[in-house]
Amino acid sequence: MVGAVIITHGDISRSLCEAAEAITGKADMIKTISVKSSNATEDIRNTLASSVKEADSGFGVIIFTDMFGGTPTNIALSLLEEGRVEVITGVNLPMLLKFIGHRAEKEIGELAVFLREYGRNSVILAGEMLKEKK
Amino acid sequence: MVILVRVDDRLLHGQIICSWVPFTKADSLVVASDEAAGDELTSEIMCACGCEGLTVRVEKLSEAATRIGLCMSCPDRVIMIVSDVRDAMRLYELGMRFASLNLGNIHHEKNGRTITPSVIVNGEDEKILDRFKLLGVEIDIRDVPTKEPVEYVSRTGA
Repeated sequence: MVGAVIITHGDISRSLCEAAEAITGKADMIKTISVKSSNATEDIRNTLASSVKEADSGFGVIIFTDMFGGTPTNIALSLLEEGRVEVITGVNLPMLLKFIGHRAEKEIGELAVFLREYGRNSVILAGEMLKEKK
Repeated sequence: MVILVRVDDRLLHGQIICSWVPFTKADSLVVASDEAAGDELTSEIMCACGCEGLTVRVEKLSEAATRIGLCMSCPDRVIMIVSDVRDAMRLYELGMRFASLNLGNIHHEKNGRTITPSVIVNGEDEKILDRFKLLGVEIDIRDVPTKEPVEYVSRTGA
């Protein structure tokens, strides 16, 4: 089963995980990290590195981040390792739910690509969609 | 023209791209850091934050100071970012002049003094900041532009 670490600005990570678990039930091996402005970069990097280690059961870990260009992503990118650690930016609830549903049946590389597509496709301009249906 | 010089140990990140760039109407970001410029992956990641209307460059400190900092005819509106106050002083010593220095993120917890949650300065930082004050450079302490700047009060009362 692929592990996960969600690392974001503020407590989005924890809230997102709580929201997902309210829908799917308790999910194992998902760590969350909240980055605050008072945290030193080196401390965040160390926390992330140990969380990745803890979340890895041998099938790799996906690090979910909120925004490309932000500090959580910048730090996550330094841990990239093909086949073992993947980073997906722009995490959202549908993406996370899909991860929980498919983490046991796909290998990490395939799962990461699948989640990127799924996360993108879950952003919908509702008015436009309704117009198309008319 | 350099419109903002910022000290930020996170270098390029959300506060700069999402707040300072629109606030200052900057169209160019220059990360002046020997360490970042020497790291291909870091440079690539930072440059990927550029978009239409915003160029991002990562340069060695001396190049950034002489090529951009000293160029008065440069049409770009540049935000220059350094990782610590020591590098900010190096820019000054290389001849670059700025009326104000923004302190965004400094985390020198070891023997440090907390000025704001994200600006914790050590003794060496304070010596340099005192020197900047004597040189007439205003110290502007705030992470995002919508906040009121916090005044830098030297320990020595300077």
